[in-house]
Amino acid sequence: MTLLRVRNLRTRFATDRGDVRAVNGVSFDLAEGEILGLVGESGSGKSVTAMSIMRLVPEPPGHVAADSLAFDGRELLQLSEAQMREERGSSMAMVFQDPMRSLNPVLTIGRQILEVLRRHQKLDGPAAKRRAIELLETVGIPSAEKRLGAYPHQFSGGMRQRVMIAIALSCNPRLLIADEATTALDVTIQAQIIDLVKRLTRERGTSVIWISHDLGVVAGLCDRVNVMYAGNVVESGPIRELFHRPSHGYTLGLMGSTPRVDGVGVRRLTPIEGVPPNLIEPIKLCPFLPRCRVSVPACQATPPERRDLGGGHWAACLADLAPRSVAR
Amino acid sequence: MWSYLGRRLIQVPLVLLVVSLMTFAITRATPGDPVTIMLGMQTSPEAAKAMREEFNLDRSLPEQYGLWIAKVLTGDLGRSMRLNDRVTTLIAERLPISLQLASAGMLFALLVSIPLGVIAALRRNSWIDYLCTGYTVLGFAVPNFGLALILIYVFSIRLDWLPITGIGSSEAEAGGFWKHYSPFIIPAIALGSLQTAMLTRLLRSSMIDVLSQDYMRTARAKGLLPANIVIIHALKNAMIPFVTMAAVQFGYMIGVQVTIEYIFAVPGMGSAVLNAVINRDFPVIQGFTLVIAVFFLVMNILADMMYALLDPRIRY
Ligand SMILES: Nc1ncnc2c1ncn2[C@@H]1O[C@H](COP(=O)(O)OP(=O)(O)OP(=O)(O)O)[C@@H](O)[C@H]1O
Ligand SMILES: [Mg+2]
Repeated sequence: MTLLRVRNLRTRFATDRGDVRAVNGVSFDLAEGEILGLVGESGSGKSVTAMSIMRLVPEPPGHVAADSLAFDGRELLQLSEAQMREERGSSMAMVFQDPMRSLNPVLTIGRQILEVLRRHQKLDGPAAKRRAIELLETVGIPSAEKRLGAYPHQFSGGMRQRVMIAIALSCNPRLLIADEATTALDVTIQAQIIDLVKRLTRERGTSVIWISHDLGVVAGLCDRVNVMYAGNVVESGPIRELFHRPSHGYTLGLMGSTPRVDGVGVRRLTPIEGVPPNLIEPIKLCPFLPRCRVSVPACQATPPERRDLGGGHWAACLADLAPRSVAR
Repeated sequence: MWSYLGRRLIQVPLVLLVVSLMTFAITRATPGDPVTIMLGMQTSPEAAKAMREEFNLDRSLPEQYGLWIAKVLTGDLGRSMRLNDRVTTLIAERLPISLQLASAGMLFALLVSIPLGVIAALRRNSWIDYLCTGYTVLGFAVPNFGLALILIYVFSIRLDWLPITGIGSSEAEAGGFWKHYSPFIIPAIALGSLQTAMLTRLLRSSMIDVLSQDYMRTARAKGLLPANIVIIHALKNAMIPFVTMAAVQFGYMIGVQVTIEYIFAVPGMGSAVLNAVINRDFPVIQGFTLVIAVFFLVMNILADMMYALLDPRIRY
């Protein structure tokens, strides 16, 4: 069953130099219990997409529009702020990108967990405290009981990140959005968190949007992945399909490999040359064209349409990369 | 924390020593002889001589200072040359009144600046924000005695709503709540206007800063109620510099409320110092200045302590 339906999501920010189209026509579905990866270069609109779904984009300067943004059948853009407050932290939760600054410095860790439980689950007193300790233990914080009275500055970045994850999980959300949630963590803890997320989706049917730069983590965790570029999804597909047959010039670039004409991939790690387009200017052709290494003459003439590659895999690319594969 | 407090307290005597030296130097360097002023021109040389001896004015300046400071260390601030009262008695009489007035001024400043600063920050660039900016500019620009005169004219003379004088008078103290406290209203507003402006501006800017922090987004992502977000998550952070500034300003107010005490005939420290200066009443000037300095220092230390108390990141 589809939990989240996103159709033509557009988020822009008014700035002095003009409107920045940070998200420009994103569409996807997220099923119950599905883990969707969101990958893309810095500035491609991953966080803004997440924030738009949570309706946390500050308006103004931001403005969010969509043909549909339905969570569990309800159009989020039509909910009042008060209705949204009931959902946030409860049925939909988000872990933010910067753990160092996402916790309130003057409130104890315990208080910052307890307030969500009190707000959404009407849980108070010893029961709430037990639950808070349990949550901290779940995310791998040792001697959790003692840590409740600590302040964020007494925690390392990784510990704070785990507290943020504990807060997000506290009310058993149906949708969890994790924005670079494990970036600050070392490999062991990262593996723990990933196991935890997998278990949640299996046991509770939690749906997850997992934003990450780390393609390795995405490959190991997600069911499907959306590749974002310049505010749009340029390729999407089941994880095996997409990694096996990257079908957009940008995805190829992201994977750090360039296919050779004979179809045998070489593994050459090269950062993509050039810079992403200015999001203030309207984009008519393929946004990746100026940096693309596999462009074809047709790219100069028409914008690419979604090309269905079968099995839920599609790419908005005119170059026919389908038969080639990339050796990994 | 405690060792920091210890280090701060050690500084206190040093600062007081400097303050006492400077006050002493200034009183002695200002032209005007207290004995002539007290006794008048026609007094007999014997009477003048006796008075000089009584107050050690016949001795050299270092001796005068030394004798005075030695007594101060025993808790004796000497006698007023004019009133013949002990300076400590005068302080005991007048300090509470000055403290009451300063408290009233600070209370006014807090009552106005907290809501105004918060609302201006929440509704940035709205009419209430502009009102707040206009108000702070006026608060900085209009001197407190000017404001005092305007308020007297409007609320006492024209509207006859509020009394002008009466602070510390036996009549007011004997009266009911209104009679007792109404004389404080105009002087408190006039006295606190500068602090109101300062604190409003500070709170507005620190609230704006706090509201843009990432943890505020986290608070919203938790679905917390707006009142909770503003009061617990934002204000608790924004209050840290605010409380510190308020404490420092409170210490400062006691020292600068001379004009207000004078205008409203308040029998406080300020008006006593003013009279002492006019009459070159050296012991009173020196003793009162010392007490005001002590108060100022204590408030400053208290401000630092509050900073550490409110901000868990600070540990001295
Ligand atoms: N408040 C804002 N005002 C103007 N532009 C904004 C604002 N917030 C985001 N943007 C722009 O939106 C674009 C997308 O930003 P976003 O944070 O979603 O990128 P991202 O994919 O999450 O990148 P990263 O991997 O670095 O986190 C960027 O170009 C950014 O400059
Ligand atoms: Mg981001």
